[in-house]
Amino acid sequence: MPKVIIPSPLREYVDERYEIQLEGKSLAETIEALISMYPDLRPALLDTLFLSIFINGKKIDVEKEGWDRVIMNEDDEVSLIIPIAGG
Amino acid sequence: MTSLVPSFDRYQRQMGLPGWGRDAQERLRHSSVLVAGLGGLGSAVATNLVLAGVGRLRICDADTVDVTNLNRQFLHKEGSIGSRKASSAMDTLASLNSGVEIEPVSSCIDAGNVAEIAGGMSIIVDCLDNFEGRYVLNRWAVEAGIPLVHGAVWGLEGRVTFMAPPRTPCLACIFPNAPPAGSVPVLGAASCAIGSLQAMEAVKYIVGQGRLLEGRMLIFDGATMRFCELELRRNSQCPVCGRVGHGKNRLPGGSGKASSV
Ligand SMILES: [Zn+2]
Repeated sequence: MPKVIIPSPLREYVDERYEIQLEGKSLAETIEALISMYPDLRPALLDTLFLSIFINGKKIDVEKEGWDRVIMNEDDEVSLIIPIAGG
Repeated sequence: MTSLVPSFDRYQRQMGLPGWGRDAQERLRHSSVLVAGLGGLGSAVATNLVLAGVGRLRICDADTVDVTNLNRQFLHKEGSIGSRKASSAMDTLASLNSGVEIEPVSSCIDAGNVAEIAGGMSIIVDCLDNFEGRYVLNRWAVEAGIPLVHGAVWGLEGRVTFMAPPRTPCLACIFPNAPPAGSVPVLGAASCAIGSLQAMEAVKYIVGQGRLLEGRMLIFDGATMRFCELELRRNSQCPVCGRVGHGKNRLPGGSGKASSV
């Protein structure tokens, strides 16, 4: 199952879990599964102004590639990257 | 300023690194670094660079020391509460290595003063705590062709990357938009780890050794003790660095020897 790594600032919405394994054949299904499990995450994940998505370390241009056309593989690791500025 | 310790003896252990020697130490001695922000990251960056023996260190922060800084900002001491961070940091750093010229600046970096503050530096290390200042520094670094080491921290997690367009993206390529700054939780060990990694990149760049985090963002999560790496791409439409030539195989400024190739 693909695994989503939750960045520290968003862990408060997922019971402080570090990473979550989810069923999902596409990126869209994976993110939908995550949101249905933790609805409080919705605003952060749908706010593509700030969010970037990387799969196995490579950036996904979701606007161009389309959430549902990005196919997930068994061992894929999804990183949700939001800006952090702490110094 | 005359050093109290014979100049090269104190660097013996790092000069002994394979390929470093006296040349590397001379490069460090002739370098100048801006550390922007003297908080948790800046404490680790400035301390490491002063110990490593950079020639000139410009340290910049407009704030005064607050009691809530003391869990991580080890440049400042209990007795420094209320003092300007730049002068408190100056005192600590000067006591560590009298052979380094330290230039304290108590200003908030903005578009009007960035050229004066960052001008003439070999490299910039961004240790600020807000995107507003980070974007100003980024734009100036891109235009001046000076490399910038980015670091940021949240909780037990942090990130580092080495930016020198056109070889790498700039901050605006990676984060075109950012929310306004707020106070975030940080553990001292996390900002210290990330700041040390930033200092590592600056030293490698100056000395011309190793492989820099060019086009790569290192993410460290202290909660899981995992390091992961993201591949970064330039945005050809980037309003900040988009006009800087693509694909040129050069590093602006400094020694230019270290590379990711
Ligand atoms: Zn850019």
